[in-house]
Amino acid sequence: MRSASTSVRGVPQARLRRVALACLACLACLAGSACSDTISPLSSEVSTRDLRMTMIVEGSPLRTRVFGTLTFPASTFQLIEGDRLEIVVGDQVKRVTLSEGTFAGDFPSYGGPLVARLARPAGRGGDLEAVADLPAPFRVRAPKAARLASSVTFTWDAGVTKPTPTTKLSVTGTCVASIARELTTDTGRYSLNPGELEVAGRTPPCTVTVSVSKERGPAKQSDTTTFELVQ
Amino acid sequence: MISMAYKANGHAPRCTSGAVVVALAALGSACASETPPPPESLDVPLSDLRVTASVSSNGNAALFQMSLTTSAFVGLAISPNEGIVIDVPGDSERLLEAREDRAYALVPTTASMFFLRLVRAEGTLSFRVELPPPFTVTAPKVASRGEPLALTWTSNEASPVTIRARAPCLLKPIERGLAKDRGAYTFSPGDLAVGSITTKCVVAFEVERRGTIREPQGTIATSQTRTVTVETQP
Repeated sequence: MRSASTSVRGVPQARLRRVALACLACLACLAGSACSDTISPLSSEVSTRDLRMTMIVEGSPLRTRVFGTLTFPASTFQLIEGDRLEIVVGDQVKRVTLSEGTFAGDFPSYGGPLVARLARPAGRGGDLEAVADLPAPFRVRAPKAARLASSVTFTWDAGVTKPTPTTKLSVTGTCVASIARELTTDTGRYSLNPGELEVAGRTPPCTVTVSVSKERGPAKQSDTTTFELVQ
Repeated sequence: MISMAYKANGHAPRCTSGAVVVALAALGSACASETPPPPESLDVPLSDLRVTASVSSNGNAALFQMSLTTSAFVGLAISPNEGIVIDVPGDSERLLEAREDRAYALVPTTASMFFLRLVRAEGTLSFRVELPPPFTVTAPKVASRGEPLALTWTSNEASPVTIRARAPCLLKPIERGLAKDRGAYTFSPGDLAVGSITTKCVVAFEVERRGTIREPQGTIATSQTRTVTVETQP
């Protein structure tokens, strides 16, 4: 009796079945990918007026990060033939790539105007820019340690830039009540009252994180420090 | 089978199952859309009542608010004939006014200790209500919003405290909570956000010191609130 695992031409039937299944799987993959992929338009085919660009900037005393999107309505597109995407930070111009409609760039710590620009050859509707104005970098300072029953003062460089950014302060930690404040007047100083960090059921010590940010539109400059809170 | 029967005070819907399925369905849907009125407090024996109340004083008057449930936390309508009395020792007694599921009284008094009594022929349910210690808030009459603004009062660390700042000229009201009442709070420059930085803005600062009284047949939230106004300037 012939075993179910052998074929008439000496090739094991089970192996033939595996090969057939693998071929079918490959065909399914090819068909699937062909159907699901849409062809991204080339930038040379797209007028500037149909493009949308956004940019957000996150600055700290260590670095400046720029994130952006450049999209054609309802799809992404490929940059080709002279269309050049660049970020201008101060005197520094960095060319960046567009991937799935997004771009990013890292720069040294910075404060001032920033531009993300799609520089285009003539005949495509002109350049496209997104601009931001990043508040100057600053350091936030806190005492090394503080007592729950004492006031705690944080300081930073207030800055005098116009337009005045929105200054926010947050304090978090595993043994404290989380605090978030928006300061209408930035004097470069904020004091928490004695006991203001106290929360029922949680007891110091723990490490408390203080973060101060200055936001102007899509650009946010921030710094973070920590201190030890003790009973 | 649907069977809905409410012990009602005359006007509540009453639905029972019947032979006519259509009528039953119609009645059922009609009844399902109506909320039955709560049982009345006088239908519940005194021993099964639970009191939830709040007593708040601003130093000149005390506001009493009370609701009743059964021990199974079923809300009760307070019967108009229920005798709920506020006894201010050395002064007068005052009846709380019942309105549906709440009873209220605003009593002009500087006292901070009261007795809240629910009096029936079958007995009396009585609570001794001791408010947190009274206090007076000290603040400057005029202050610059560019400088720290300090409020002080006598501390009472046994109580949590909430400090609020309110004024039409503030962009948004401010609320700060402290787990322990340390008798002081200082607002930093930048805390008081006004529409125009050149505007004079009169801010009402309210300090609320809170307490809670828990007894087998009730829980009473207590508070002492004091308010001062400060003219703030740029």
